[in-house]
Amino acid sequence: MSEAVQLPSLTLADLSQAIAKSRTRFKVDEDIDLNRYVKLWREDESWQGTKHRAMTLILRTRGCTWDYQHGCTMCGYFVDTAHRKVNADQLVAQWRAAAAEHKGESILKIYTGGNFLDPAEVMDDARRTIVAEASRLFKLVIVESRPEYCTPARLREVEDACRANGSHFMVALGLESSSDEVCDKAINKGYGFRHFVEAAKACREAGVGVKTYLLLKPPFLTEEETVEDIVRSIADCAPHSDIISVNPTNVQKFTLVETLWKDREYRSPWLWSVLEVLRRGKPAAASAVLKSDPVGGGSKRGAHNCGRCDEEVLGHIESYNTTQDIAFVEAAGAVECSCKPLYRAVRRLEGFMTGSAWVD
Amino acid sequence: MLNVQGRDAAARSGLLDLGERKVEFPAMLWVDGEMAPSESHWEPVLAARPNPAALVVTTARFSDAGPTAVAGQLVLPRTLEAVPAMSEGRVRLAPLGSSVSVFHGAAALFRNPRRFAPAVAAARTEAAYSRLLYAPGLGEPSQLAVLAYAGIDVFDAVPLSLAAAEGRYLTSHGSFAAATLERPECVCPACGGEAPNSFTEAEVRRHNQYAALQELGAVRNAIRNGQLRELVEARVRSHPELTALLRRIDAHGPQVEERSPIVRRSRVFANTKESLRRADVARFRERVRDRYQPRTQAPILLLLPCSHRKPYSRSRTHRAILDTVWESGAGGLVHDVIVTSPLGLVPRELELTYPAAHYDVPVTGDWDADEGAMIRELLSSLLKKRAYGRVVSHLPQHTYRLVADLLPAGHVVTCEGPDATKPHELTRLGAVLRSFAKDLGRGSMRDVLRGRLHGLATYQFGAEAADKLFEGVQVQGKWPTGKVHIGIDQLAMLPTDRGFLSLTIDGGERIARTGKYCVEIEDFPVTGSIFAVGVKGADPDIRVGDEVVVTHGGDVRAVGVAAMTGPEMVEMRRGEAVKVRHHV
Repeated sequence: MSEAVQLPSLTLADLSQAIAKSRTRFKVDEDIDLNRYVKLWREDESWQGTKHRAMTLILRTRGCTWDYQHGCTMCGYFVDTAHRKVNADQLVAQWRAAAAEHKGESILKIYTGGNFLDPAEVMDDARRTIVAEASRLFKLVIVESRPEYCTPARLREVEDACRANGSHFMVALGLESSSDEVCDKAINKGYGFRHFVEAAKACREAGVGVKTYLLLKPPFLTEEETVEDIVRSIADCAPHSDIISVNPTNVQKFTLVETLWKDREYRSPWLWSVLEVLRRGKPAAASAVLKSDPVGGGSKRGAHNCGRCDEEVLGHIESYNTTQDIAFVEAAGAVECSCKPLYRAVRRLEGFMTGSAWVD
Repeated sequence: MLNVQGRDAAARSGLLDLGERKVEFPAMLWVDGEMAPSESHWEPVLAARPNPAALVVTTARFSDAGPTAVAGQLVLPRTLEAVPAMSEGRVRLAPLGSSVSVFHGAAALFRNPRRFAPAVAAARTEAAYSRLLYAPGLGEPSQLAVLAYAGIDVFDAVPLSLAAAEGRYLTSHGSFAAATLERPECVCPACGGEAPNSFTEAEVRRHNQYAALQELGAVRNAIRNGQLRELVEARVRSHPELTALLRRIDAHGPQVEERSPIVRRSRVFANTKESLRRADVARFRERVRDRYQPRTQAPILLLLPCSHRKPYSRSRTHRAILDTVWESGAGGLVHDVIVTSPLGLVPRELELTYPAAHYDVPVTGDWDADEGAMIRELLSSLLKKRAYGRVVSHLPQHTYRLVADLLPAGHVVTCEGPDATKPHELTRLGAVLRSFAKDLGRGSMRDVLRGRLHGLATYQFGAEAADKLFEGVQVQGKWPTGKVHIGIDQLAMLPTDRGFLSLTIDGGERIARTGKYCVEIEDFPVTGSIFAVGVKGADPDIRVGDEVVVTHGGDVRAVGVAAMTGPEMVEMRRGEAVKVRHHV
């Protein structure tokens, strides 16, 4: 009398619909000045074994092309995009306003809430101008892009422009997970591991560096499943990456993750999980830099533990990021806290439930 | 297949028959790997991998197909459909074998009583009668009774382990930090009379499992004895959120009402504010308001207080009052109606029914605002249904003041103090009734009996079917019994133990003409009980304990008592549907 029952899987359209529904309360600001960038800040960044000052710039563009049709379950960056055409002149004006703020930083990171290499978003003329001017000011220029925009011609163009000024170019690829099933069913990413590998190879061939983002704890995965998934993903993407950055999911506004979180169906990952993927992933990461900057770490919307041990653990992670010395991760793992038994129980038991076994 | 042996509210107890194995429900799924070796034989088991002891095996995330299932095992797929937020707020049930439905996301929903109550009602309705409802992640001992009451049949031990990991020591009356418990309080094998404040996580976990096992036993017995509501009201006191949940379940009650027996013998303890809203009590009041019709000729409405002993007419209070009425010569002129809580208003003819004959309420002598409003509503509805020539209040003063403004001008107050049985109050009542009897004549006790039986029938079958049953009949007997007949053919009788009319085949013919309370069966000769498998259709108003007429193609085949609700006997393929009393 045993019966295995088949349920129909949710399709991409179902997930896209649920993502769209989470956004119904988001209103586009029609009065934004399209000649102004969104945000700019400065931070320390380690590159090639030394510490550098870095400037991070968020440009306001029309937004992510994938996001127009589908969107990802955890991504709320569309709130900073214009949702209408931003022309090349406006983009260059934004960039020049930011460039005027340059105070000797050697690394520039440009994010758009979309894809810097997507010509529909950042027009060819604007991209060429920005890269040419930026490579004169910075030693390294990092932009983010989906793999479909990493064409050999475009990569060669940006790399040549940088090299001409003695600078380097790096593309950050948001792989999230090397499991196509996770990307498909938990993230709605719209591409798979082979697309990442193709793009990374194209970057390498053009002399462009590769930074890979992995997503710790997309929705619908248990703490146990995501730890195993990310440890595997680190090993899978290491041969194609110069930097691997593990991003713990943070709960961003108007996302499906936020809907689940408000329904008490989702909890951001524990910092104990961040430590475990760094510790277990490090040997397989080999020559690549393996790091993690938990956005909103220690807060309810970011990766967090119980609130008592968060600060100490985060301090160790930050020291590890800049030194790459795994002893800091081990020291953090040895922090004694009463939330550890609960974390272990969640790891053992969450698989028996739907939704989150534990919410704060 | 389900073998249901006990029913109370939306809860059932019995055996889930999987061929190779039988599982008693309500059931707790013990988690593979979380049991101490000495209890590792406890069944049934929830496991992540197939193993010989497992009953339910979970699959990996996103997986539609299960691992290869072993005979007697159920595979629990974990797909995105399981997430409530993905299904636009609708409850989605996944089948687990053919006899269990999984209420996915129940644990997340439970964290929000406002959303959980309607969700569990919807889940219970969707799982209908032929499937058990499994709520993954729910099963703390203090929650078992209220969750079973709402219709959840299967729990698991995951929350027992999570609580232990937090150092929470669980009991049927709440959750406590083990570290704060300095004195021994439990004698289960895990505690062994030791104080919990020195326990390891594994020791707390083992105790939590014993506490859940013990409470599961209490819940199973309460269901079989019709005492689940009393257990629930005791348990929800352990946390405001559980009390809030019970109130919300009561507000989303149709599926609890449908499943609550209409006639039974167990007592009702109306101990709490929530007792006012329990489904079977609320149903009584609604029926008195909406279905019941006073079919009496009596010109005098006499309002009386309730008594501690039930039925009222056997109590010392009511015997003293009824003797006074009889001696006054107005016995054949009076329609007596009892004012009470939590039932509101009990016309004399309903005093033998459930729960009027079965409730106990802590008597303090005053009504709170909710009770007052409910009594006033029902009395207003009665006064709208029938114009009484005379209205007499023999209510204690505090009750009289509650309803005085509703009574018609010229009503007479015969009790002026707090105690209606004091000799001077009874003397006044007798004097007033005697003077009325002088004006109105003596009336007839037989008419009073007819009015009572007919009025009871309106409550039991609805006014249309009751009026059909009583067309041109004679009655005989002495309250609290009675017979309804036409010539030498008996149609119905009132046995004191049920408080409902029992039909004969001839009585059944009359009810059947209205289509009410009929169970349509396949074409077979009736020799004993009717089983669900032979039922083709049934009046959805039928509740467990109702008097029903068994028909086939318009012919009455039998009369008897429903052992299932109408929808249940149509859906189920197994079990006794009607206990037959007479067949053709």
